[in-house]
Amino acid sequence: MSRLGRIAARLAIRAYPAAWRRRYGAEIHDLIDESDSSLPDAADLARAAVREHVAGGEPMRIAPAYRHPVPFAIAAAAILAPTLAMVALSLIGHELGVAAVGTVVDGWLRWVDRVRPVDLALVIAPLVAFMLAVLPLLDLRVERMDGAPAVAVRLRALTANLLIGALALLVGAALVWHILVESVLRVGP
Amino acid sequence: MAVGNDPNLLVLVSLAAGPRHGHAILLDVREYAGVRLGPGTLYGAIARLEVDGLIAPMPPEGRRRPYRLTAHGRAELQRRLGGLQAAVRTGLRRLEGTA
Repeated sequence: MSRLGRIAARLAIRAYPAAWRRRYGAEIHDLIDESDSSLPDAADLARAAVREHVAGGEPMRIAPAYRHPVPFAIAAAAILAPTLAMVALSLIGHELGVAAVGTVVDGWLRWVDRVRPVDLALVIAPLVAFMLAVLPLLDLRVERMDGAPAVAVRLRALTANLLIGALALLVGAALVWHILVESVLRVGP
Repeated sequence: MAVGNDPNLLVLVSLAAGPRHGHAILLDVREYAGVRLGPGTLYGAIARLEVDGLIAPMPPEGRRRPYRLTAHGRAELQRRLGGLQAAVRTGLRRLEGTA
């Protein structure tokens, strides 16, 4: 099995119900180590893992960041910070009329305009930060209800994550507004 | 159902030759049926057959665990192969009749 295929297959095995892994996990690991196949085997394992959850009655839980809300909130804040600073200083400089701040921000924005990857990263940052902040609030479960598979979504409220998520939305909205005003609404002679 | 689409039957036929562990079943099925079972499909079949009492696990050999056909499994395999044999005979006879 290729290295990538082996890694993917091992990840897929982790998607099986715990009881199933305890019973067959070692055998499947042995099979993967002995086998010469690759990514299709990992896909086969992933499909079978979902089947075991649905058929076995034990809910399949998809909550990738549930146990780490604080690190995710910190990562989201770190990613959001440069865009937030740029937007906040721009508002202070241009909307509140603090000329000194406006001059400094304009210098930064001119530099950002010239370096496209940085420009793109600053624009995408609020979306990435929002997703990172709210991911730990999400708990998806695939279970069997009345004989049919059903997806149950549970949400929890964590102040820090919600605040950073909301801030990311606000910054994103401010950026969209800025882009619309600059690029669409003011187009003309 | 075609034999190639029925992993349970493929595993039962493989174990009819004697006890085998997962990897050996995989290789045997590939050789005698030309079917390449994925590891998830194979162990899904093994788990179902074990729950149904058609196969039984033997003591593990390291990480490997051989499985053997039970008496119930042998009878079930004979019943299913007999059904397939009847379908094959009938199909061939009908094809010859319309040729």
